[in-house]
Amino acid sequence: MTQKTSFKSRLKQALSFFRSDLKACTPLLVVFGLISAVTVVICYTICVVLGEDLTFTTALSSINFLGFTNSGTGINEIFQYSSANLIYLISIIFTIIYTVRIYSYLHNKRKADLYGSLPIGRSTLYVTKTASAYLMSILPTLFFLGVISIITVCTGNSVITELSAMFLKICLGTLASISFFGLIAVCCGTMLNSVLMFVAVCVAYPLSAIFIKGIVVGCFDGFYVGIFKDSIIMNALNPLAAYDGINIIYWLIFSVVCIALGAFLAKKRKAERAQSAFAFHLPCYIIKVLVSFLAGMFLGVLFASVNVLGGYAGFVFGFILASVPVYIIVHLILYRGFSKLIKTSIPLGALIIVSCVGVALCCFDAFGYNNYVPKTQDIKSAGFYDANSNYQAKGSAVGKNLKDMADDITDKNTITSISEAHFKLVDKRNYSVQNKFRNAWVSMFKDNVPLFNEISKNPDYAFAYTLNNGHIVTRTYSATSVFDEINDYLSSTYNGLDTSDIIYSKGYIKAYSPLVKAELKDINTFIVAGFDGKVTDDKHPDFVISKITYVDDDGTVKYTKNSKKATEKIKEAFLKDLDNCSDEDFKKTVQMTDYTDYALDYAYINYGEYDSLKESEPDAVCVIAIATGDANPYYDEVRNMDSDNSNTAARTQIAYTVPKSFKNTIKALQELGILNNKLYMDKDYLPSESTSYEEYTNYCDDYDDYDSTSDVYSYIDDSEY
Amino acid sequence: MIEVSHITKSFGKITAVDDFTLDINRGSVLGIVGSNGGGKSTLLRLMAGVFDADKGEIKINGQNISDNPSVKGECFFIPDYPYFSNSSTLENTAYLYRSLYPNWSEDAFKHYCSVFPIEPDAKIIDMSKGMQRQAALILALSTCPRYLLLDEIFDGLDPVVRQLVKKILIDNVSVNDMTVVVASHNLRELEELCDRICLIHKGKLLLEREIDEIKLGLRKVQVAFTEVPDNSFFEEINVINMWRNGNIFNLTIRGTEDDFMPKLEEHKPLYISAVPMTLEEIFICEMGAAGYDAENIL
Repeated sequence: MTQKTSFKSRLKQALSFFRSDLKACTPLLVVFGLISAVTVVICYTICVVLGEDLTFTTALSSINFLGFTNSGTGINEIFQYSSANLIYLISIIFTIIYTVRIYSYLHNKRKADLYGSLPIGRSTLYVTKTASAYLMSILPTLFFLGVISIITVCTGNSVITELSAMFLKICLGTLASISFFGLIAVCCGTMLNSVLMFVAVCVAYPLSAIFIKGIVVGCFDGFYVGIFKDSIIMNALNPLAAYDGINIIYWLIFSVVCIALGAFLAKKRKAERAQSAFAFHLPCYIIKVLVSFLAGMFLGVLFASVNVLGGYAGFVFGFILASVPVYIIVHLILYRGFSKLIKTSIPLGALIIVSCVGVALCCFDAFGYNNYVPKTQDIKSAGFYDANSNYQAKGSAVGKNLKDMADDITDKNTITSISEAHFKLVDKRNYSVQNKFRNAWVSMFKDNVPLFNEISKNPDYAFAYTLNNGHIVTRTYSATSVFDEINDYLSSTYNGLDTSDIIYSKGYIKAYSPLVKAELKDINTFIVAGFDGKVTDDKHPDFVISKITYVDDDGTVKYTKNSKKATEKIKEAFLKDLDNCSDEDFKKTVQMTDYTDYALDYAYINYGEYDSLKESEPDAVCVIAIATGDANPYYDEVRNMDSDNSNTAARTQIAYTVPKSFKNTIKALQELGILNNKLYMDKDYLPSESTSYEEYTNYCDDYDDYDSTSDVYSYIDDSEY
Repeated sequence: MIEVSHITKSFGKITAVDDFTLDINRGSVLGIVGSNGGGKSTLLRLMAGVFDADKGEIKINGQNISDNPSVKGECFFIPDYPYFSNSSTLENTAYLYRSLYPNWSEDAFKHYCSVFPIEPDAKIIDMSKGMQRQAALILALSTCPRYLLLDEIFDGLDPVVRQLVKKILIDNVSVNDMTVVVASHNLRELEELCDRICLIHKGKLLLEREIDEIKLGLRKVQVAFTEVPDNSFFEEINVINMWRNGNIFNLTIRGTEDDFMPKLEEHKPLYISAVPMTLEEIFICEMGAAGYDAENIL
């Protein structure tokens, strides 16, 4: 029979323990306080003394302190950011020290005697100690961030919001870290083992997850690596990741579970386990397996990627070569000797078998993932993403957006084209095991290392299918890799892919063309280009432009007075014509597509297109061109727009010829005053100065000399702006 | 009352306490003696609720001690090496104990602080071993425990303080009906303090009796025979230990003079002398009977 202690009594006990711990940790708190205070004063002094030095200010303001976006350039912000971030670091260090000290009652026999005989429940004691560690970490940080806030407020530029966000991150990180360390401390018999285990789990788990990610993405072509970005899977057992302030719900649940489990285990824990290796052996197995797995994967993937024993055999050799000794070493460290080594080696055997079999399944594509393309008759609807022509309101065809695309196209002909193109793509592949392991290295860091990030941020092609049975199949493909060998191979695979049947299909245009789909806020260019009707023997026939939405000289998007109405009207009319047109007329509309890749970024269609257009489509009245995404040319290498403006649409540019048969579109253009009755351009004639045939010829000759993208840009810049 | 019933506690392959059963009445002083590694300290830790028994249970006032704060609030355990943190003083430790122990007495604390020569605000960690034990005793007695569990409490105390401690403990037993359990190797101190003794060896209870009963129940007898009797005779008179030099025998006999003297007289010994044994002699004798090879060790 056990009598219950009242809540009030427990609270009183908890406060006494807190005070007792506070006493015990007073020297540490004093050190924390002194270091923090000195740090704040140093930062403030430097900022005040050197505040007028613009070089200093600029240099400091360009630093992104621990991911904290520093948008300000004032000395006040620099002081706040630098001091706050230093306090942040100091707080983390002292949190670790407090925590280690506070849980030491579990690891010292004499302390175990004292605490074990005290009239307080073991679970209550554990929770009290956890709360004590948490408060002692949080309160001083709160105090010093408060001091910094007050200083910044007094100096006239408050950034309390940012500091509050930082404090919340500290709270979350501290809570998760302390809870997890407490749980580990309960399971371990010594403080050294607890610290070793905490560090090992925090390091080994994310690295192991990265290796698994690398293998999965490296081996399964078409697997979207982005699903791992910010995914909790990558950091599930690394509470230090909670300091990033993302996945808040997970970390709160994680902390609660750790505390509850720790309290439960504290109740079950045998006090005599103090100063022995472990109180509960499960964490020991976990850490031995994790670290061995990590070492094995490292050497295994390394051997396989340099083609030791032909690839996979090299992986197995490397895995065993690294994992076995590491397992023994970790055992020696944790158990201080060879005791129970043989008895506890079963997990090692299981690890080797599971890992080697798992990697074999991946790299030999046992499930047929790489070659799988759904049969046309099995597809209910489909989606296709082409980086240049596909308008996606939310940026790109990735993640949930990609899944949503699977319902976009129901037109059977387009679905057949998509399926065939996809089949051709995967049919060309002959991806070697070595290549897969080599690609695994890149895949590991694809979404968190800038070098690889830009490559993989958006796919070049993406396919999505909703099957008749309701399953959704998605694949994304990129044409680039940082390894030359793989890059060449990928490029040859992708460059040979002809997707014109898809892109120029009605189904695709209706689903993805920016002319049909783009929201006004995402459009940076919307122009109608037609003829001025003033051609003579001496004068070059101007192919003139009516700008509805355009990018001006300084790169900002400008809207004409009626741009919204005009855009909607033209869009509606064009869609109506598209629905009603014959296949022959439909082909006429897509003639301009080949000439629009670069020019539209600048609301510009070069003179050469006039001849091309007249030659290929004598029936053309005008060209409607549209571009979406960020207008800033400096971001051109990155198709997805993450720049400072709010435009997050995919970068697309596309133009359609309007043939005479597109009556609705022509009528709309006439009503808007863009075309006159003779179907010539009637408004906003540009350029202001006409060119002669001679100039035009030279212009075209010069243009032909340029063949690289960047050169075309600079040429256009020089000549037109 | 402390009821220890069929307690077993093992540490790996070593069984420290083996199917141990014992009842300790309120208001008594029980001394636990035994060989090194015999299980005394483990038994005390089990009674204090520090360790959980593998088998059996320990009840105090009818309640299981394991993880039971309300029962623990009536007990106080002073281990052989009491723990104090680097910053512990009597005053700040008292602050913690005040909220933990329901019977904490401020008067008692002040009283014992004045009785023992210890400064309340001095750091305990800087004190000598004996002083630390006195500090632990002050704190223990201030909680007014009904059950006081002491492990090697006399270790490091000077004779004056030993007498003082004994006096305080006996006063508390008689006035407050306190129950004291003391594990010690210092049999002379136990002899003066305890009313019952429990002898433990290899985790098993060898004997548990009132101290007078133990002392009266064994006799050291020196006897010189003209004619040495058969071995069966020695068994008949309950000899548990025998040392022989020719016809001279040193015997340890379980029983009183009334039991064995007439039988010895029948063999017309040349010389016979029977004296009571000290607790230490009894300890060695009983341990020897239990297989503890004291003679070889000595």
